[in-house]
Amino acid sequence: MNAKWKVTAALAVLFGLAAASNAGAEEKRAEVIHWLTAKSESAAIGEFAKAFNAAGGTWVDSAVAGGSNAKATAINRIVGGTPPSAAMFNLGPEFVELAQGNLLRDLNDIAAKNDWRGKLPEALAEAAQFNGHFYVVPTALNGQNFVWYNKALLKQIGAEEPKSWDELIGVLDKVKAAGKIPLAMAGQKTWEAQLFWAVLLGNGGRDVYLKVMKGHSADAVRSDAFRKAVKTFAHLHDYIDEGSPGRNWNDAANMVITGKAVFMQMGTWARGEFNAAGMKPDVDYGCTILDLDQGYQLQGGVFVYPKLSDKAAIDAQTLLIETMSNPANQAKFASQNGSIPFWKGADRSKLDACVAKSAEWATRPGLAVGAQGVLMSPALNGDLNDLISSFWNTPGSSADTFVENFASTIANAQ
Amino acid sequence: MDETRYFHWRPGRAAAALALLPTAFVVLFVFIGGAGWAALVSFTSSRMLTIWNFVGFDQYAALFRFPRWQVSLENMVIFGFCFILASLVLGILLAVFIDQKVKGESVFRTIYLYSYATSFIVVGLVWRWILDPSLGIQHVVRDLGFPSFTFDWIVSQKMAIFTIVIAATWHGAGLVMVITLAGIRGVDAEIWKALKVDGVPNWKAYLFVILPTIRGSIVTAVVLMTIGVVRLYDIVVAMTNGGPGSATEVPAKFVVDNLFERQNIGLATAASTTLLVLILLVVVPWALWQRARQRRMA
Repeated sequence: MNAKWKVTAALAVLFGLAAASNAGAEEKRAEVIHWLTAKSESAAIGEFAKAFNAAGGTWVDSAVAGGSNAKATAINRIVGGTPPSAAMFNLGPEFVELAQGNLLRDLNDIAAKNDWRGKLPEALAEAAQFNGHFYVVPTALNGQNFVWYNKALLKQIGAEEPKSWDELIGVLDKVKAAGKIPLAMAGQKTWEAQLFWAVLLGNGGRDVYLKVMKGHSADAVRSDAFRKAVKTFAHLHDYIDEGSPGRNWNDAANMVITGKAVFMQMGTWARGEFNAAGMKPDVDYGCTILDLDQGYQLQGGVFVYPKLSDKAAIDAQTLLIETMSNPANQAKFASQNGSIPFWKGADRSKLDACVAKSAEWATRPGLAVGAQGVLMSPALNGDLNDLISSFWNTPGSSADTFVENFASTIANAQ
Repeated sequence: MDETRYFHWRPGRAAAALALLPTAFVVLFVFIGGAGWAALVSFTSSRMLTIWNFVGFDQYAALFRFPRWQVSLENMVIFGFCFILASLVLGILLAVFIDQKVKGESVFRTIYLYSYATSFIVVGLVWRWILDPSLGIQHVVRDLGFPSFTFDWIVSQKMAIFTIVIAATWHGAGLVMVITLAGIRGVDAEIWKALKVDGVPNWKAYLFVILPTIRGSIVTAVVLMTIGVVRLYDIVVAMTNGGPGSATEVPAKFVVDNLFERQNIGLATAASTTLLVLILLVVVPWALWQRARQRRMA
């Protein structure tokens, strides 16, 4: 069933519910707004629905295609006074404004009862809170700063698998000499910025990364570590092909799969493309994080639970929260979705090599850091995306000007 | 025109008024109300949620400090000028050619207007593939044995905006053709007879007599295109998504990005209100001119 029909069906169910809402007041009915509409994604959210229905609830699915559409729908419903029981947002400050507006349910009671602090990696538990209160259940999580490569091609060229960004440059030179496209680049702002942040974390270092993102420190932007990362980032532009601007990320992945290009930088969701093409993780394609000791960039989806007034609706919502934060259900969700099962106590034995690696790194103490979307507001991220993309697409442009513009944007951010 | 006609009550007029009522309601409350609300929000510090914390013109000041907004406005002017000029020249030429009593006129008319019936998203995608240096024209010509041939405008920050002009002109010239052709066909046959008697060559006749006669149609076409320029969005998203860098960003895309992805409602409404003012600057003088012209003719 495609997304459009799902939305239609969800609307039909909604109207049906409105008509029948007085009939079954005892029923634990909960409506969930989300944007998990791709095949694997809707199978994943289906696991929650099954578990919730089995626990005595009635899951009402409101799938809205596209993250920003789904969020806009949820915000309008919450502000308009007809909030859903749960709504999907991205991990990060997106939910903070809703929490500040006193529109979200404080989950601290449930979190304490079920020991969320013990079950979540520290960076994630921190990102799920605002002012010491849990407001979200982290759900569809991914590692962002992964590098993917075609192993057969790399072997054929006779290059070693790189461990750091500096080593990568040497390998890219060899690939270029062998006449292949070294780096398959998806030329859209999001991906250009994503590459920049991965380089800043690995090549510039965790310290400067956190000072820039969390501390909004203009001095950190003007530091040598930051400038070094900027230089490495600009250097990577020498290794892309001219068709890159405007390219979608899955087309870039396809270049690595078909052997036109050797490397690409993308989050763990890229594994779906490789696996669908019949390639085996760690055999046909490699997945790694360069300069791993500097950090693992965490990003992904969360569910928020708007404040409700009706007693029965609140009870249903409580059941929903407990169902969705149950590590076993989270593991089922993650395995369908291809995302990382972060909750401790989840069974990790059946994961493929890349996901297993990713899950191990993500939960290694002190390694995970929030990605840009987790640590900075959408508005600041958007402004920096514009800046990074202009710099990336103007080869030979002044790094000093870029650093100065970057510093003033960061310093002026609220 | 008899002014009193507007106020004179006739049977059948009630039915017409009743039929127009829903539209009037929508225009009043949805369009004007919505625009007014947006203008009001643009004076607040709203980000994800609308909050009525008024900050005067702060959002407008911030807006004009954004390099991307400045680039967007520049692009709108460059695109607008090139697109309107190119579409006018091409559209009028097509209309004149079709006016030469060619065989199968309706076939040509359909072909030229057909591109206008295609959605901007489709047009944008097709042109993106045609212009993509690793897939399209450049790739094909190089494979034909011209390895040094270069046509990479769409990935060049300097030239990318002109690829949008090309695609939009391909899309819009047909409309200009239809409007001007209708105008040309409406020219009094006596004028043509007089021109023939005086032995005026065809090109001179079109350029100095016919075109000035149909300037009403041309102005209509220009106004329609200008509105298209101000709200330019979908073809950019489909072709370049604003890139490379911010080279093809346009104001409407700035509004949509800030409204949804960037959760910056105050800034987005400031930008959209600025756009509305720009549209009014075009439409109001045109409407006044039209009215004055109608008075003169009456």
